[in-house]
Amino acid sequence: MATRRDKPLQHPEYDKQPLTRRDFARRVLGTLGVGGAAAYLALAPERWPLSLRDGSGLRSVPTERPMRLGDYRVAPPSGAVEVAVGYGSSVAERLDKALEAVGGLPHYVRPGEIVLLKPNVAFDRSPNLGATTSPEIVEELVRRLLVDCRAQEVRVADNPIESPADCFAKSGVRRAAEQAGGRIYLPDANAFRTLNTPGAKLIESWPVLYRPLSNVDKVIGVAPAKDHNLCRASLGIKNWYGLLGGRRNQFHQDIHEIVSDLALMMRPTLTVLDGSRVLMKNGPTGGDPSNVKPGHAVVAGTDPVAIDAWGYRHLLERDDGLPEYLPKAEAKGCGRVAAAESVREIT
Amino acid sequence: MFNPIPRRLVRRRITRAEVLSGSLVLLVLLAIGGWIRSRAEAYDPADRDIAFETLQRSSVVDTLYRRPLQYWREPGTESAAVPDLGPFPQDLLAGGWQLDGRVETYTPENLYVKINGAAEQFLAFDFEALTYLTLVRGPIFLTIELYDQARPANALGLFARLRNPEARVLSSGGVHYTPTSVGALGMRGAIFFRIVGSAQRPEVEQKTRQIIGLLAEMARPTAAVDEVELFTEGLGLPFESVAYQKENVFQYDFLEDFWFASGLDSPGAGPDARVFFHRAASPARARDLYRRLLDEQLVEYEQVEARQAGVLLRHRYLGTYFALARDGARLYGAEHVADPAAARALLKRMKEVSGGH
Repeated sequence: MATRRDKPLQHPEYDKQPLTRRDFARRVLGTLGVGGAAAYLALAPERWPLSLRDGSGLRSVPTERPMRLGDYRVAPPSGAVEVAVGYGSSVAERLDKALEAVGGLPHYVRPGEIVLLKPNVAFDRSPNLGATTSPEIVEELVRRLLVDCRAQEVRVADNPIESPADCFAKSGVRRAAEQAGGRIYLPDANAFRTLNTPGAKLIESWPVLYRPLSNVDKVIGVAPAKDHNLCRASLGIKNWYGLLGGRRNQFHQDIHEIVSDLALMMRPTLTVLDGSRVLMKNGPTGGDPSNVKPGHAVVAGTDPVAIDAWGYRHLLERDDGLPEYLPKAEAKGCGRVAAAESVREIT
Repeated sequence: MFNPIPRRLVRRRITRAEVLSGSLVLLVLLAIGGWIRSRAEAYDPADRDIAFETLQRSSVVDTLYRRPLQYWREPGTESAAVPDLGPFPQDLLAGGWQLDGRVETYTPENLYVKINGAAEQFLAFDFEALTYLTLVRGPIFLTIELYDQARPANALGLFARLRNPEARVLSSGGVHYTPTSVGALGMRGAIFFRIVGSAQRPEVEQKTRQIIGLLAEMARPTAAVDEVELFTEGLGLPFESVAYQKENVFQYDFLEDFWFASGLDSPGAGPDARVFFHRAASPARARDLYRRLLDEQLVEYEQVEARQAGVLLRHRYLGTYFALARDGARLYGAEHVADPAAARALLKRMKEVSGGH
């Protein structure tokens, strides 16, 4: 006996829409069309139009978008000079005088900013050999950036090819930076990204140690003054070589071109040249303290070309004409050699 | 596909609460998506960093050289583990010093990994291999670099270039070296070495002396350098006065492999005078070099005399004398000599002492 339904099969709030023959046929054809198109995209040979087939796997290799570095420069305040030299008996005194003359560190770094400090830690040498940036000046700078400028974070990074941890430890830079509150960034294989530098001849597209540069607001280079076997001098501009990755040793064939490219690649907020220990010969590695001349000067400024020109003549005490990379860097618009004549010296 | 009710809105009424809550959920999802997108490039790099200690542990181990397998030892017969010190005996660790990491080796292909920027000056002197090790004792460390330069002449050329020219060269058991305040640099046979301590301390000085002693005792045979003996024994000059120039001699690209000695005490020679010596591959080759060198020098010099013993030239502007002679496959002479008689005397002396070389 059939039971009686109390409620209708279809809810009264819904319209009843039965499937007609025409609808059925349309849906079947639609399904076949979509399935066929998907099969074509997936299975058609790679050279056929719209084919998505990836038999070799090369299509799915991720392509990296080259990045560009920002322009970190800040103009000196009115009344301040572009480049100044501070003399004194201690690193702190020299640094004070040089930075004060270019407008003071707080003018360049605002509270809350992230700063990258780039020393030269290329070799696992002790600081007395003059092959690396002296730890004293790194410590002073990190402390001033954190305390005087109230920077949010100070990163200290370099890319020595061989055993970066050893280089940072033996040069004393790790200890100095961490004591003052800085954060050391060591390179590893994933810390590099391809950088695009328009106008650069050799490194227009080249891997660069990017991780410590991500989200930084300001960049400060702090370099030792030393002789260099190939480009005659390793000063403020050559210091940026330490950010390059890849097989960068090949650039030694055209060292002046690459150094001038570096000036184009990095437009730092400030360049600080440490003349406390000057490696006068057998650079860049040194190895004999008799090659190191104790100095009492620190150069700071916003014109890296002028700083190098001044350092070459007065710290390395050379009068044999400037290294070729300086006029090249000037021609690329990275600074002025002539500005080295108007450097303010504060004794 | 055969569902009679398609996925479309068929309800006759949707409450306001449903509309509002649905819109809210959609907005929240959009906000989360936007935030994720904005943070994609604004990450804290330290999150992707590898710990300093991890890198420190792995960076030294990751070298291109792998130690060969160790010989089998019967269980129970093995003594305490001894570190591999490369060419050095275990005495190297005397005095409480320890090997830091391991012995590293580098070839011409990867020397730049160790001394980027400085590798070229070693490669120019036929560099073959670098053995590098670090010793530590408390806070002090000391690095030892042994550069195998294939021939003693190359090691000497490097040594002459890199040492402090004013420092005295000491010799001990075939090792010639210049002490520095934190170590030493020098040569033994084809090896150029550099010892660098982290501080000027008595223990560093003591260890340096010990290493030099070990280098002198190392069994590797070294060929005697005839040319050095020519100057040191033949002319009685100190070792540090001898120099070797591998290429671009007198700034001529066709001249290579010349030996020089300065600090001559001949009367009238002057402070800048130097004698030189070269052994060509054959007498014919020496004749050719002699002719070409003479032709080139005559651009700046004028010929004063030409005898069987050699030629004497005078610089047109500086007034100094250049003497050149050839004997079989040997070329020798003197340059920057102040007086012509002294130049003749030096040429005669060089002929006498180079006869056996």
